[in-house]
Amino acid sequence: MREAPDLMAAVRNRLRERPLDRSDNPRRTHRLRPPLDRKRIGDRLLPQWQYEISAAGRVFYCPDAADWVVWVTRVDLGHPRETG
Amino acid sequence: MIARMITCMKLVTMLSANRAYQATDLARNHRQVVDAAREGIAVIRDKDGTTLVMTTASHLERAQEIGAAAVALVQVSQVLAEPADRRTTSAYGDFAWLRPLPEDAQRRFLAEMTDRLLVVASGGRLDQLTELVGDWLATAEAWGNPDTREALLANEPAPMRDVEL
Repeated sequence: MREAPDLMAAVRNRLRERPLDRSDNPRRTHRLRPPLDRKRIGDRLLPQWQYEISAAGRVFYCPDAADWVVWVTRVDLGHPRETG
Repeated sequence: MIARMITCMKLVTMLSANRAYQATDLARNHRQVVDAAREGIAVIRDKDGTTLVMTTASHLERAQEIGAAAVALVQVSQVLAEPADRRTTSAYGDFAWLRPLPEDAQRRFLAEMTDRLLVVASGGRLDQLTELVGDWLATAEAWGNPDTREALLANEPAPMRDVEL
């Protein structure tokens, strides 16, 4: 993603400013469902979300509404495997 | 086939609540007929008694999508009624991507989607359904990648508080 600094800057801003906002592109922002819907970070159990950076790129993150922190839990840049 | 039946059933329900126009009204009172169609549905009776319907494309599309979703969920329901070792991926139909998820998750998907479908069918926004499907698809996709799955399931005992993007 070094080749796409603008894209990464946009992702960074999005996660910082409106990590739960689906309004502009609901097909790219998802709240994960069980069994991946929550993750323990420190002493908190937080919801886990995913943002589609590109057709193949995914950022997973846990917004902590109490502390106003967004924890990035995983970044996948390759194409996801087939699930079917 | 079932989707078409469900769509037709919804239309039949609406027919009874609407004034019926005659085929000749298409020439004499076409504006009235078109306005009725734009507001929801215009029922037209042809000379031989056949009932015709005029409605907006978006109205029909919505009914078809709700019907298709209902059929797809019936398929999932039938699959989950079978023992796990007798299920095939193709039997899941449009939701074949669901299969790699654990049994509990698949059942929860069915329950959540059924609830959401009922809300949408009773007048809710169609994109509420699309949103939930997207959430589950993203989950199945992440679950299907062992490295991603492991990372997302792992607890993080000590977050790196000094690291900022």
